[in-house]
Amino acid sequence: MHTQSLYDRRSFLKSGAVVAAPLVIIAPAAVMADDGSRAKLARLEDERAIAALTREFLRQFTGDAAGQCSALLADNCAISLTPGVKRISAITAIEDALLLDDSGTSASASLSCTAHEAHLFEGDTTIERILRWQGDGIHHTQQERALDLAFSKGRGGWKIVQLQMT
Amino acid sequence: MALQAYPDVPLFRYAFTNLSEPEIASKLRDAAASGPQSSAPRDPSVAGKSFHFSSTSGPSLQWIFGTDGTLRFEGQKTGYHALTLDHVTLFAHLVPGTMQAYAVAWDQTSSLATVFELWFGGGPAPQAREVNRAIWHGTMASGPVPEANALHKPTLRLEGRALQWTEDNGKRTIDYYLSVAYTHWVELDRLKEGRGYSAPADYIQLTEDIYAYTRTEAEFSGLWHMYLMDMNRLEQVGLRLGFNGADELEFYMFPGTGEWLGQIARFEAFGETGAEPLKIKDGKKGERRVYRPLATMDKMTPAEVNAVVAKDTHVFDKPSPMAGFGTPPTDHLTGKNFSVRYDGGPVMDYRFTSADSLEYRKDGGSWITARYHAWESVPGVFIFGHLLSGMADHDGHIVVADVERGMATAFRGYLNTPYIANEAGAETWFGKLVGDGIPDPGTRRHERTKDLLGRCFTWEYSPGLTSMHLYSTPNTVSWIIFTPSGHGGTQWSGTGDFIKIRDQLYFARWLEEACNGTLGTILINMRTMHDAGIGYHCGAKGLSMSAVGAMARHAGKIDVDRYFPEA
Repeated sequence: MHTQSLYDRRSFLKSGAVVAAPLVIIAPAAVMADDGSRAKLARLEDERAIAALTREFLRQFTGDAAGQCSALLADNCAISLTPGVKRISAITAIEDALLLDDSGTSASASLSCTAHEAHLFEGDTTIERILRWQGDGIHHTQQERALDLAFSKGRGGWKIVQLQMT
Repeated sequence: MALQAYPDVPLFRYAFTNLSEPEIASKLRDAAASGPQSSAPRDPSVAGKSFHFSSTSGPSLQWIFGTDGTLRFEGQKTGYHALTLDHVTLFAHLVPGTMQAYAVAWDQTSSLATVFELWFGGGPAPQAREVNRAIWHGTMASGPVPEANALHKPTLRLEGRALQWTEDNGKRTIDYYLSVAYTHWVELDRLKEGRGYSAPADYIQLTEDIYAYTRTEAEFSGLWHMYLMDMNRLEQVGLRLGFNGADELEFYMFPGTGEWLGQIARFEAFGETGAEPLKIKDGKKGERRVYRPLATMDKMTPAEVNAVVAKDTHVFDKPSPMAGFGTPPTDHLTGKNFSVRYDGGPVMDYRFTSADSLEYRKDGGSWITARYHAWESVPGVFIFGHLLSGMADHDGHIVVADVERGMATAFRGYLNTPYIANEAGAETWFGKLVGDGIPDPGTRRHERTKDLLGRCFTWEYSPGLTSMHLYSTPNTVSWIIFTPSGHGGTQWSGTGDFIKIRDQLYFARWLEEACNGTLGTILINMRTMHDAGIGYHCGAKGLSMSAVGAMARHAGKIDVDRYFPEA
């Protein structure tokens, strides 16, 4: 399993605007009395990190979650995606669907998404043989589906621990 | 087998001679001087004229016509014939000393022309007897060649139509134009079986009402049959060039008359006008996609079949792409017992012990356990299938049982046909059900039907996996595979049988003979527009019985009933 931090230079630059804003606020917050602002700020940072993580997953994913997005997934991430899905476009904004638990170490989100699916015709049925022969060995569809994600925060930051598409 | 010009066996069973190029050249030699034979007089439109054909991507050609039925082409004198359809003349000739020929459609009004360059041997056809063709669209007028869209052009406008044509020699065919790249035709007089066949085709629009059609009888005689047709007047002029089953040269031109048989739906998006979805990019001259299924199917010996069946037999043990949109199997037979007494066939006793396991006993023998699946297409009507153990031909029974009316019909699938051992054969058995609570039908049985004749259904098996069936004759099923753009693409056909179970409920089968070897069976429910069926197939990966299930669209019905009165 890849152990690259979510907060390395590369991902920091990618999520630039999102992450930069809270950093500007961090300095004054550090000197503020703890009237709950600190917890709110931490929660805000977590939400933004998870949103960035989710967007990065959607950007990187082209059909092989475990292989292509390993840096974003926990070692034991449970993956159950629709067969043939090659790209996922979120319909629901992650910020609108995110549920962060009180401990600040786990979160979940249920997104509506468009699954871009490619169905390969690799079988021996007569139709599949003819389709391949015609040069039409793949069929592309777009289906609206539900994508349930679960997140966990560990020493390496936030990771995706569950991906389930239905 | 003695050679027959028009074989009395299915064309896919006839051993057409692999004529050599010298044999073909010899047979063409005398015909060049006389030109195409014809019972119709030569049209004088071209006599004494000289034509220069030019096109942007094709050859530059010149014909100088005499007044004595000859022309000069590339410096050689040869016989020709010409027939005119209103204002479009079709003329044809051989090129002396070669295995080349030309057929040319010339529009007298616009000077636009389409040249069919024809040749035997040298490819791309794999056998010399199969006519190759290259098609060039251009003009006979001087000056610049018009833009491509102003020339004659491939078209999808004919797709979905069907006509019956009668040549002046009395020969009748039904021509189904249900693909833009293929055709399906039925010889009503040349062949005795009334069976339909499929072949690569060209469809070219010359004017709003005049079109050119060609078919190359690839995989069979290799003969080339073409005509110009006037869709308003229902008249044709045409040419046949090639060798029949007796290896006799057919080189004649004919006028004919047509009968409009209808049109089914097309499935391209509205506004789609593309007409060459199977075109090979940068293909060689004359190259196109020609489906040659016999070459690609597994062909096994009986010993190989026995070995693979012993090692790899699969009965409903995995999801089938042919049933992605199918209905789920039913468990409604669980706990039921009945017998099927087939007329002139076996008595099959059944005990259904679970949703996927049954016990059967053939002719009072021992009980044997087998895996099965069943679907209840209509309340009280089940289709189920299972393999039989220990049978020399690895039988599979696919049964439709109507427990409310006491009747059953089975398609018995088997291997070890005399042709290719792993190719499925089939026979149809009618019978009665006997069991508690099942009424005795007396002598009533399900019956063969013409209700499906001429009908077309699309079948959506899984996303992107859609075909269309054409039930073209009482013994033919043809299947058409769509392209992603919704064009009818590759088409092939095999033996069919059609049984009426109830009103709007039909049990049909097709055999993919000399083509993948599958027996396909479906119970078609025209009220729910869904089928449930079972495929029986043997190949290098084993013997399988698997689900078939698809959503249907009724694409239409071609009116051909009157051509099959005996069915």
